[in-house]
Amino acid sequence: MRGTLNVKSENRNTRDGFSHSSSYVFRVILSWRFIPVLVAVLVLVPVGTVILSFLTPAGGVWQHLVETILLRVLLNTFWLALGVAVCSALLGVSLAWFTAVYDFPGRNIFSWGLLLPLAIPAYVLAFVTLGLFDFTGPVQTSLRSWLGAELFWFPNVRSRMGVIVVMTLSFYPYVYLLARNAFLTQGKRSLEAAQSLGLNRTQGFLKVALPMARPWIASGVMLVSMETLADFGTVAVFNYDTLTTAIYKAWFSMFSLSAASQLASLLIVIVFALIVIEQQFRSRMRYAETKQSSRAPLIILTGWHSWVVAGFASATLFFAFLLPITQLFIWATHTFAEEFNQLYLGFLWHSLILSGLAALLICSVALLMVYSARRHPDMVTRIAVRIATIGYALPGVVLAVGIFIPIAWLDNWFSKMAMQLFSIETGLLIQGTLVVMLIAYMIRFLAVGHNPIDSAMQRITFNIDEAAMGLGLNGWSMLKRVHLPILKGGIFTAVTLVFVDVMKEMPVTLMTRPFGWDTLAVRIFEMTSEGEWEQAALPAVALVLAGLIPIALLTRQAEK
Amino acid sequence: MNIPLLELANINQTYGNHVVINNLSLTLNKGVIGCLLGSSGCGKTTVLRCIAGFEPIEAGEILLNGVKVNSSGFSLRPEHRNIGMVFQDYALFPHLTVASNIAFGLHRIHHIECALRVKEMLQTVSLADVANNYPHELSGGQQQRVALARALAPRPDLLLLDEPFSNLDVNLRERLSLEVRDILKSQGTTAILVTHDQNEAFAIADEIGVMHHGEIIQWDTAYNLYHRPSSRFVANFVGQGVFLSGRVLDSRHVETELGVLTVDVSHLHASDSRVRGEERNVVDVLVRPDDIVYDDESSLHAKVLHKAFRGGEILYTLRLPGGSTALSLVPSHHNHAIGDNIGVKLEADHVVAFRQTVP
Repeated sequence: MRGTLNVKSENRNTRDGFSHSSSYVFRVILSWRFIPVLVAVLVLVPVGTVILSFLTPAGGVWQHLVETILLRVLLNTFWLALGVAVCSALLGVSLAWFTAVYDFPGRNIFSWGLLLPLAIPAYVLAFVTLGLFDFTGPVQTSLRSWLGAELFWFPNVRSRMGVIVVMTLSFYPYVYLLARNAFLTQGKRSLEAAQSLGLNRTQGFLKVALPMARPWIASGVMLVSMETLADFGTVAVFNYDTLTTAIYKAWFSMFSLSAASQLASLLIVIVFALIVIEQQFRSRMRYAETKQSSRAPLIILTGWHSWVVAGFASATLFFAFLLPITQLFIWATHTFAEEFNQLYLGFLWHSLILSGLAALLICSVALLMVYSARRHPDMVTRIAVRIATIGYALPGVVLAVGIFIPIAWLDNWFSKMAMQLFSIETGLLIQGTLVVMLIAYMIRFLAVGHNPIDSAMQRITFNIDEAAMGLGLNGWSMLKRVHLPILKGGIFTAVTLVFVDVMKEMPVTLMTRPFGWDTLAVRIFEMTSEGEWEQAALPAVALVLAGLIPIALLTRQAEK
Repeated sequence: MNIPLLELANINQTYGNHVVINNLSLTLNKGVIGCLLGSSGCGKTTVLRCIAGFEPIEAGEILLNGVKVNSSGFSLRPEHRNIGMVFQDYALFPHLTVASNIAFGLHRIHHIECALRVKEMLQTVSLADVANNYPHELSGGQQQRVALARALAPRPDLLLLDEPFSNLDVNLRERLSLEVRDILKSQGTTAILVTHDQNEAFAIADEIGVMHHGEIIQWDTAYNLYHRPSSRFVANFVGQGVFLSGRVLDSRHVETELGVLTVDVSHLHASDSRVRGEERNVVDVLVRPDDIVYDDESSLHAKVLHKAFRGGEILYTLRLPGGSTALSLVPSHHNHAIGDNIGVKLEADHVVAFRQTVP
């Protein structure tokens, strides 16, 4: 059925194309197809701006950067990305294997509990960890007084290793989630196949389960790497200079947008290389997919084995979630009396209104895109949708730079034109308004809203449409009685995910917000850059509570 | 008498309160292909997994080549049993080629020997031309043969096949099951198959055990299961047929609507003392569709209630003069309309009877 529909629409297009091409263009614009194309262009503009800036002649600031910090920043970024990737892979894969194949005390709780660290933004975990384990923090202070200064040794938390540990604890759930999924669908069965061919469990894991899950694991590690490269808040808390902080400083301390943009072009090249690799693995994942067979029973661990595994999972959960959450609440209650005031409510209000607006905008656009892709399942639309949703991979700082430059240019051009033509002083029309921010959010989070709505739409087959038509439904009644009920869940998920993601977002908000629009994330950035951990706790608690919502959605989905 | 290759002695297995395997015993000699036949949930797959060593048993013993591999508190690890397994979903390794999949279990032997064995297996299952392809590039039937070759390559003492044809097209099933039988016989492999499809069981197995609620009801050849079922359950489960009520005349004769039949009913009397004492010795006689044949000369006329065209034959549902219903398989050129009266007669060298009263 779908095939015939395709053929029909293609015929129509070519016929129009031959007879009067101008009316074809007009119809494309009128039809919904222009929406994905428009969004794709919106994504390409900042990317193009940043990449082009690499070719434009460099100013003195850039020269200065190259001579002084560039090499260090690049090395820092490289070691950080590598370290976090390796550690997340080890932690995520081992935990996924244990919870997918073995039974040990607390396994049921760990299987969803190990996702909880996703609720804490990495920059929040960063400042709580620093506050706890830094030289002046409670852990070191009490250990020192207990052991005496001579005996006492503690690793330096403000170090590359410190950042890697914090980010690993923050990002390993991506690997865990994907690897666990792979192990659950094929791990136990493949292990049995290996055993029936004479391999023991360890050999089976290494020779079968691990290689089979490789596409999933690699995909998770790539996600982690992209998050690491995009991260701004965590490295800012640790004063660990990477490309993202360098971009921020070039713009906001050296006031050189062009230097910032050139640094951004380096970052974008690295990120795109990762995207290409990730797509490779994703396509291989499809081949490796096997039908989920009846779930094989778990291998029951006994004796000290079971306690080692349970201890390992507990330790991860403790350091990545329980400890930081507890510390946050303690700080928040300490400072509640002085911090919970008009100012705080202002941050909260800004966060809520921005997240709400962004969620509404993004999900509307996503819905329109999904419908237009359904109406016109052709090459142009497919490519446009692909490009439109790739903005998720753009690091926030890159996006902020890439969007600011063209908008500043547009503003200048517009005011010049107004001056010349009508002698009107327009001033800056778009700069410094919420529009910039909302566009930036849309580019960054469109994929988050698009995926759930798109997968809900996949469930409405053309046969369902035809069945409904056969029963006398049409137009609005079809939308109301068939489409909306089916799409409802997907739209709800999309709105929730976008809302929470925008709320936690730091660099885009920080760099493109209009004057006076400080949010919870901005407040956290400002307090932590002064080392005021306790003051940052109350806004962080709000973000963590919001962050728990998508985890709940995720685990509920997994149980279905 | 040589020792049996596989021996299960009174094994038990429960999940919570649910008894999955109930005091099950079976013996399989070398070179024999056995089959556990039963509907889903009867415990047949669990028996297979216990033999493979993937699941512990709670009581009883499993002996392989006369050596205990399972007994109370002891379970030899699956990898040390030298038992091959073909999984229902094949469980092929998607990251390995066909040849590497087959070579997977040959890790203990020299690589030249291994290459030779892989080549031999590829030829046996006629997959030499796709040796370097990946599993996802093969058809369902080819994947199935890879799974078989992979399991057979290390020359297992025993091969277990878990619903091996259930993922295949119906018309492919029969052809492949005969092919698999030929391969197993050519390798001299002892095997146990688990299936819910009796045609599959008949096509492959030498001996079949009909399972129900974790027990083997009857372990026998296909012919005997069909023609000499030991219980009403097996009679119902295997093949089609009807029960006709009959009156026992003496220990060898029963009178039914189709006339006086020669039935050995002595075992019924022996097994239940109540029947002997009663005046009316009423039994149920199993009549298969192939026992009733078309005969124009016959004085016995039956009315056609339904007909199902099957190509070579037509399966008629008939109403006998006395009012009971019977099935008859007739060559398809004897084409009659529903409602016609046709002449039939019973043509069977023997039939089986069961006690009518089911306590």
